[in-house]
This record gives sequence, structure tokens and C-alpha cells, in this order.
Amino acid sequence: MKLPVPHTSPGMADRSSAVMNNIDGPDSIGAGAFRILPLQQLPTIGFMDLWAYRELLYFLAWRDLKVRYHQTLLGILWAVLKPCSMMVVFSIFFGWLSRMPSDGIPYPLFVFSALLPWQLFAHTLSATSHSLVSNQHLITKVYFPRLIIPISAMAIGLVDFGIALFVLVAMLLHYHIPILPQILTIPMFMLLSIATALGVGLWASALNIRHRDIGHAIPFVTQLWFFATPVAYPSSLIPASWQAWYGINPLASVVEGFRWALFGSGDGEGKMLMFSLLVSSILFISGVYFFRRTEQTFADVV
Amino acid sequence: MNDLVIRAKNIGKQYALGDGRHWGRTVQTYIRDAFASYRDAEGTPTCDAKNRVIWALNGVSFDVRRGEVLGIIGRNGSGKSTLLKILSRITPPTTGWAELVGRVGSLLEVGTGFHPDLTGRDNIYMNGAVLGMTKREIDRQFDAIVTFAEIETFLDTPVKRYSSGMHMRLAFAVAAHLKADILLVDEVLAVGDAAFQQKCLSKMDDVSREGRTVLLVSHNIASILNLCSTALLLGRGEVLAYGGVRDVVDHYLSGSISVQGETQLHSHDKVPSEQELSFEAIRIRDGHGRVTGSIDAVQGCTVEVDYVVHREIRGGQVSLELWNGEGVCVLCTTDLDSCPESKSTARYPGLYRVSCRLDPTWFRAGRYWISLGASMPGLRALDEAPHAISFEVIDTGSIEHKLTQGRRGVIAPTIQWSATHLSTVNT
Repeated sequence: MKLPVPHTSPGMADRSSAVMNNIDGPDSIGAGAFRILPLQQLPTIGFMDLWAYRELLYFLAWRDLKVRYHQTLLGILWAVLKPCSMMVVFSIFFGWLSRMPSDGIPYPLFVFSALLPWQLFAHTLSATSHSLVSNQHLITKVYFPRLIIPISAMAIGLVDFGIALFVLVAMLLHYHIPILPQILTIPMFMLLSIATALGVGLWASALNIRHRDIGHAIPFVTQLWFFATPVAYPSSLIPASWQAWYGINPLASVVEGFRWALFGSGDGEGKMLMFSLLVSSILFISGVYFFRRTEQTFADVV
Repeated sequence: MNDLVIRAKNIGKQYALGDGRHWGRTVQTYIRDAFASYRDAEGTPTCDAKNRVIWALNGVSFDVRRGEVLGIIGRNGSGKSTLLKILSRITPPTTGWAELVGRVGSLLEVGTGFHPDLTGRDNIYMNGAVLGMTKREIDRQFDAIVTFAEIETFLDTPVKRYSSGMHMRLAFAVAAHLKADILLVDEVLAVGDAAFQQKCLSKMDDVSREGRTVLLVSHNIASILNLCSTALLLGRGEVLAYGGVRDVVDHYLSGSISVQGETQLHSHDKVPSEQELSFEAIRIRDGHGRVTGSIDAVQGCTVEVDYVVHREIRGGQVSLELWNGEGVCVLCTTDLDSCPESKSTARYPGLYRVSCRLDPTWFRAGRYWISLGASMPGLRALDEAPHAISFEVIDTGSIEHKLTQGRRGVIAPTIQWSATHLSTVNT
């Protein structure tokens, strides 16, 4: 170990080295020391750090789930009630009164199969975008990889989705819908839904911590997004020449993908799906990047 | 040979004042700034709000050896907590760097991550995980935590039904069982009842004896003296003193805060002509006659008040109220108390100075405020200066004060007791 040199500038040598661990710079107290440096740009996900804190991720998700239906009479039934009541309302107004076309699928099933991935998206988006602000007491008091917060916030949406899935299976049986081989692609569409929600959610949560406007905008944006997504109507209503562009909304592909996997309805949406994958990847990667770039200042600006 | 576990080098932290510059601005400030720049063009001088920054820390360097307990002291806003936040990686420094060897546990607050709806059992796991313990570690320590917190019977009750004392005990119990090589502790001892505080103090003592390194931020000079071997005194973000705990505490109690201890109350030009009396200044002097903002609990202190009489008055009095940090008025005294016969003596125009001696040996440690009033009793108020000055009574660990720590009461006087052996009882 070198003797401390008074007033050596912390300067460029330290800042340019992006590696945070095991720096043998001037004055270092030795290998194995963790070095805290001024604001860094962190383009990586920091996967090692996330892995090291996986138990906290688990506990935060567990807390959210445990508190979720605390002191309610219906408890977990709410996860079933919400999509079911929406399905009933849509079936009455669109299916029965407006005679909305539904690609030959019974309308309640048509709506419910779309509500599932939609609610997974909407829950995830809403939970992740508010997650940082609602956990600010943690951010200002303890260190942990900040990505853990929005990631753990996704748990509720997933669990609710899983529960509603039972209802979907019951409905499939009720309507005697044959199981198609492409049902195996459902996880892929779920992933697309989650990735889109998380991408937007990461942007929103990191911005929301500075501008609470985002928190007000998210429910409103979600509502608009809902109408831009073919949940209550089939995407075949959209002129054929616009179909591919419709994929700019990844949720359109998710919803149509779910219907395709379950009922084999509509096909040739390859172009639309490509668009969606592209948009979703851009949202997700830029979301992670923006989040990581700004996360070190969260405690100061919250 | 190399047993340094913390090295901080030139750490600086800059904060923007006001609304946090371009990121934190709301629409209103955007508009306001737009107008501000318009006024600038007109040549009106405006305060450049955008460039107002404050260095919460500036050029802070220190080394800590393994097993050392370093106390960090300083007035409010001196940067103590910011320093701990940087070392615990909650916020990055603006300049400089720090290195830490080993597992770092930061206790900037006890009970971080507690959720009111979760049971005591669940919260132990939640809080432990937030502090960086693994599930296995918590499992292993679980019984010890429960015993330490004395909450066995309430383990499956949601913590929102806990008394604040139970809540605190549980929170501290988890924190006290955090196994870390370096502990960063901020003011957590300022909570809980006295018996539990004592328990926590001895637990902390154990911690340092086990060879763990502790950085302790505290206002409580007595616990700093008890626990720490070295200390760092911060003032306005800079290191004012660093070294052996006794020297640093002495420095803290004397020189560094002598700017406090005096308040100018009125300037002459502001006094309305019809006013008969106005307060000029108030100052606190310690036992040696020095003006200071903090009083050693065993020394005396003198309150000195300057006032100006503008027109001759008869029957006026100057009164002083002493308030403690909890907002309780501890006492009220007037300059007529000791010589009631002077009630009707005239005060002719001119500058006056009155002083009274307060005996801090019956003070409890903590912050006090003095409010001044001058009146013609029963007639009218002449002048008043609420919360004219504040000062701190510091417990330097004198034996009397250690004994009174756990007691109730606004004041803690030493009262003479006598005992007489009356008879012998055969048992």
C-alpha cells in the first residue's frame, strides 16, 4: 500500500475507470475494497448486483402480494372479479347492444381473452411507474440496485394474471373451444406485454420521481392506450393496409396473438408482430438505459 | 499490516438550492424563469436562481481502521448525514472518492421497510432483507431478535397495532443483529425509552468489541464520548477537527460554535419613535464568561440582555422565558424577582444591560430557547422577542447527569436528601 499523498486530485484517472471494484488507483487501500465514485454512467443492467440482491427482490414482491388484499373481505377473489365484471360490461354494451363483430368467437370469450394480457400490461405499467415514489423511504435510506423496485412491482400483475387464467380455462371448456398447438406461444406474448409495460414503466418511474406529473398522466395514458388496443373490437376493423402499422402498438400484437393462440383467429400478422417486437425492444432497452443513467440521483431528487 | 477499512478522499457533495434546477422544475417555475430572463433583458437585477448551489460536503478526507469507532459530530446541516449517505451508496459524491472494505451495513434509520399491515414476524424478514441480510441469516437470528425486542406475544400482530415503544424496539432489534464489517449509524439512539437506550448502547459497545468498525453520527455528546475512540467534527461541510474523541469534542464545545450564543434583536433605525423600550441584543455566556451557543451541563451560564429605553418609564419589567425543545416553558423569570422594591424606580433613556444567572446543573441536556418580553405589568407590553436565542445544554457525561438520564421531568435538579436511622427492626 502506498502512503497517502495529500491532496491528490480524485481526477480523471479514477473517473474514467468504469470498473467499480478492485481498483488499484493511487491511495487505494487495497484489492477487495469497494470504491464509491462520483456520478457514473452505467449502461449495463448491473446483473451481478441484481443477483446479489435477489432475496430483497423476493421479499419486496412478497410484501406487495401480502399487503395487496389485506383487510379485504373478498381477498384474492378481486383478481377474478375485476376482469370478469369488465367482460360482462363489454359483452352487454359491445357484444349484445352494438353487435360488435368478434371474428366468429363468442363475444365474452373474445373480450376476456384480450382483457387478460391487457390487464397484465396495465397492472404492470401502473405498478412499476409508481413504484419508485411509493418506495422513496427505502431509496433515501438504504442502498440496493434500484431496478429491484420496478421489477418487484410486477409480481401483482403476474399473480392476478395467473388467477384469471383459471377463469379463462373454465370459459374455454364451457364454450367447447378445442385446444390448438399454438397455445404454447402464449408465454411469448405475455413476455411481449411485460417487456412493453416494463419499458414504459421504467421511463415513467424514473421521470415520476422528478416530475409527479407522470404519476397523474399514467392512468390517463393507459386509458387511451386501451382504446388503441383491439380489446373490445377486432383488429380486422382496421383497414388492411394499416394493419401492419397497427403493430406500432405492441399491445395490439399481444392481444391478437392471444386470440390466435387460443382460437386460431386471424393470421398473416407477421409484419405487425415484427413492428411490435421492434417497438417493444426499443422501449425496454431505452427504459433500462434511462433508468440506470438516472438512478444514482434518485435519492437526491425524490 | 494494512488494516484500513475505510478511506474517504476529498469527498464533496453539491446540492442545488431551491427547486432543483432543470430536472425538478415545475411548469410554474419554467414560466417564472421565462419572465425572469425577460426582466434581465430590461436590466433589472435578479437573483440568479439557477446557479445557487451549496456544498453540503467539501474536501472531506479521513481513514478508519478495523475495529475503530468513529464518531461524527457537528451542528445541524453540517453534512453529517450526507456523509453517511455517500458512504452507504445512497447518493454519489460530486467529487472525490471513498473506499470501503467488507460488508457495509447502513442504519440511517431503524425500521426501514417496515410495513404497518405486516405482522411483527413478517416485518423482521422484510426489514432484515432491506438492511441486506439473507433469509438464512434472519432465520438464524430470528429468536435472538424477538427476545431482544421483547415482543414474543405480539409476533403475529400487524405492527400498526404496536405501541410506538414496541415498534421501536422491534426495529432496533433487527438493526442490532445486522452482521456487517462496517456499520454506518445515524442518530438511531435518539429513540426508545431510557432502559432500552441503555440496552442498545451496550449492544453497540459489543459490536465494536467484536472488531467491527462503526461510524456513528450523533448529537448526543455523552454517547459519542462513551462509544467512540476517534471523532470527526464537521462544520458547513468541512472537517473542522479530526482525531481523538476527547479533543474533538472539546473543540466542538468551545470554539467552533461561538458564533452562536448572541442575537442582535433590533437595529436602531427600525425602532418606531413611539416605542418606549426596545431590545437590542441577547447573549449567552458560559462559566468562563465566553459567549457561546452551548453550555456544559456542569457549568453555569449567564443570560445577558441589552435594551434601550427611549423615553422615561416607571414600573417596567423585563422578563425571560425558558423553553425546552419539546415546546414546554421550563420557567419564567423577571428582573423584578430578586428586588421587588425597584418596581417603581424610573428607567431613564439610554442603553441598559441586565444579566441573570441560570444554573444548568438542573437542566436536562438538549436545546433551549429564550423568549424575551418587556412590559408595564398589568398595563401594556413594551417589546417582545419570542425565541430570541437558542442554546444547547450538553451532557458531557458528568456523573450526576448519567444518573438522571432515565428519569422523567422537565428539569433534573440534584435534590438534597437526608436519611435518619430511626430504629432497628428485628426480622
